[in-house]
Amino acid sequence: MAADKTSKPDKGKGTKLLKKLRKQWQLQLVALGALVLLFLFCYMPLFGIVIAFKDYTVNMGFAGIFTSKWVGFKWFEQLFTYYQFKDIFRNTLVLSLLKLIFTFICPIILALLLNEMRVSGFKRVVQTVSYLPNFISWVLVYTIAMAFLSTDKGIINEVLINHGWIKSAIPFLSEPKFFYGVAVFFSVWKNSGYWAIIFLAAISGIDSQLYEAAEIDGASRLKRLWYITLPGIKSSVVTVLILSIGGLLGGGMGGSNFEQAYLFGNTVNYTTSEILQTYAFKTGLSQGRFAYATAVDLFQSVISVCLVVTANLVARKTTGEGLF
Amino acid sequence: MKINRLARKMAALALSSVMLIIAGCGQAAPAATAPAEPAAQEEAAAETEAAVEEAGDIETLKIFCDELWWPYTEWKGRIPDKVTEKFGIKFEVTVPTDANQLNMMIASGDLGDVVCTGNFSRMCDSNLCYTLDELAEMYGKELNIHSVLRFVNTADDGNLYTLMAGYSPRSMLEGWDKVVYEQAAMVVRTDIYEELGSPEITNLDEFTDLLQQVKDNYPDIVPFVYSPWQMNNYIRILCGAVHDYDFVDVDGQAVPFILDPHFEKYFELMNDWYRRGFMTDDNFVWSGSGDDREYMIAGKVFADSNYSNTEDGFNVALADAGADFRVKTLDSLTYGQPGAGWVQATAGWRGLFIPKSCKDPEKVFDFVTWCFTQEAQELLLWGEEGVDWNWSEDHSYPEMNYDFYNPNRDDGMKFWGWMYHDGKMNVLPDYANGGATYDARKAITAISDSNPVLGMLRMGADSNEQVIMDNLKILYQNEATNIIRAASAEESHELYEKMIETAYSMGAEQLITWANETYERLKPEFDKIKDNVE
Repeated sequence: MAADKTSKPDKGKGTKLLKKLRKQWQLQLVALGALVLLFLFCYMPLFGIVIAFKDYTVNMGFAGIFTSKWVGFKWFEQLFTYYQFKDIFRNTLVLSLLKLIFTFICPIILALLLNEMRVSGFKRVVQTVSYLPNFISWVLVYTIAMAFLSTDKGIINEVLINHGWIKSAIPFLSEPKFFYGVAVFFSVWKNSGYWAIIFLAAISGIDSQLYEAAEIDGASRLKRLWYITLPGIKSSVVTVLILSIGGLLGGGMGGSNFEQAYLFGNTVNYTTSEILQTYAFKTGLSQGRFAYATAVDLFQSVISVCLVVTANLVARKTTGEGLF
Repeated sequence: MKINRLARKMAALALSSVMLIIAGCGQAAPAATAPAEPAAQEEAAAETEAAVEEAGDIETLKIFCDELWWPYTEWKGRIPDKVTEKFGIKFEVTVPTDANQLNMMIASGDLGDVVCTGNFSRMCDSNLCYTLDELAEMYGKELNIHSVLRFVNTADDGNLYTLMAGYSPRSMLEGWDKVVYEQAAMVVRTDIYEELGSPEITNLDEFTDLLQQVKDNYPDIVPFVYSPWQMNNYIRILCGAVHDYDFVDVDGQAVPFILDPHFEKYFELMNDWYRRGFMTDDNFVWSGSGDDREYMIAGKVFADSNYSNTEDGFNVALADAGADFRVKTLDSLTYGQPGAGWVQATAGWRGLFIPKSCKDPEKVFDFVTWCFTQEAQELLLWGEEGVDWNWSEDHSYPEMNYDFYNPNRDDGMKFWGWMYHDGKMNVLPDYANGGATYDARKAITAISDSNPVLGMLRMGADSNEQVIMDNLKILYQNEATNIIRAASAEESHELYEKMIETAYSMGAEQLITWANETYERLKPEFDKIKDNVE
């Protein structure tokens, strides 16, 4: 009897869903096209991951994915015993975490500051100016960085030397110790304006009556910000945080780690600029070691998945909000 | 019911589309299966016929020139037209957008009709490319290859896939006394050099003193830079250290380049120059070939370790830029430095491969083997005899009727000859030019030797040895900068020792064992035939 009780409503639900789908079949057909594309280009290629465990070589072509020999964790062992692995792994984590911290906090602060602006014209100008760098490619950002930070013709070094504050130019773009700072600075500069819009949108959704009531009760602007604005955008903040943790090792909100490390990296600062993605690119694609490159990237993906799950758990426990 | 049927039809249509796309993705596989099945050959022949029909008698084939700097992206002009006229083919040219494109093309199985690349080990795969003997037999053609060329170009599987450009056996160079090696050189600014009294520079100590004088008297000038493209090869040559090659002969043993003991002296010298402030940190960050050139044109540098044609090239650029100084090559340093030396350890740089995806292997075979001939090299490298050049009276070099360094690209001059040349035809025009390029090459040739067997130590494209070698190259690339930029001579030496230690921990010993097994087998065989005259 109990089984009947539970199965009946399910059957009903299923029939309802089918009826609904039948009713919307034209729309569902359109959606099917999108699903097919999604499957073809996002899910089907995932099968290629198997070559991380196989002795695949590029000469084997597409068929080699299936016919090559299984080699277990051979490529992973090679990665872990590579003489630079510790540096590369550390750089990937440190760069990602630093970018997460700064590119996550700065847009919130920028959004809060913009929200507090009273002169709307100036606010619009600031918003536009801070948003524009998002449209600049990393190649151009590197060119700008060269113009400002190069030891030879960089504006910053020229100013510092001309004022007598330093004797010789500071190698911002070549000294390993400056790499993290330079990378994070340009990430913040490039992406804060864009992400601030998301948070501004969340702020605009807060009921204005709450602010009015708080003002009547004598709450200062800082208190209103603390007790109304921040809790009001909490769910957006958590969502953005979890999503950016998901893409953490790829650069998250701070833009592509790969492009940054590839462009800003050189033979002088490689001890801090080489990350898993650039290493996979150099050793994998350039040398035609696709199986090894896949293993390197898979290793990074596994860490990313672990980070998302952990971040979601932590967020759920501390704020009560989570993605899943 | 109607709706159901329609929905089923639509779903079937969607699934068929998916299958079609998947089938499309899977077309890569046939390229790896060769020789082509009769059915596939019939299909290819049909395609060929269609192509010929489409373009009249001329068939359009695809060529991939695997060099980022390749200057031609179209098969057009007076010289290519001559080839088209001769063979009834023209090419749709593809040039890579980055260094990884060939690997991607191999993986996808679509290599077009002919591939010009230096990636010998990767292309020498009977599943990927036709061998020349196989095609000669298939189409009943004659294939006359000099025994030494056949020996040095034979792949590990015993097949001959192509001839690599840039190498000729000694016997083929007999009588060509104007032949010199294309190699690195260094230029200095003439105005500063003259202001400092034009001192005779015959060794590195004298040159170091000269750099010091530049540093002392011209504080705004960087005394020394090297072109990232040339990786400071010239100074390495002066120190006797190997470059460009995977292996070096040390006391009769083939060892990986990184273990060349001459590097110790090279790093010692470079570290000294760096600590004395002769170099700029930016130099280590440069990655393009134009950075040092920009520096020179802007008048910011005194000496540039670059290439043998740098003097001629830079002086044209300096004149165009309106600079009031010029540069000159210090050939006396090449001739005079004790211990300077270079071993040409190549069996060739790049070759023309005929992939299994070629839709007309016979025509491409005819074209490729023709490229190996004197006639082809004259046309593709120099142009038309009587129009673009004439033989000198003693028939030992061509007298060019145009600037060989600035050929008319609309006519398709010179660079198609880079697909294959024998290492002789490419350098002879310099002799008549009488420019600095020839003198610089002559100087390097005077201190050079040749050992193509080292170049024959080709590790399999995906072998453990190749992985070790690639890792050693990365190790060198990473650590060389640190060794040069070390704060003291002791620290520099420690870093050098550490690099060597790391090289061993990465498998250098395994590489030595492998290399010597092969070297000991190939060297006597080569020595037996190296002077063959055919």
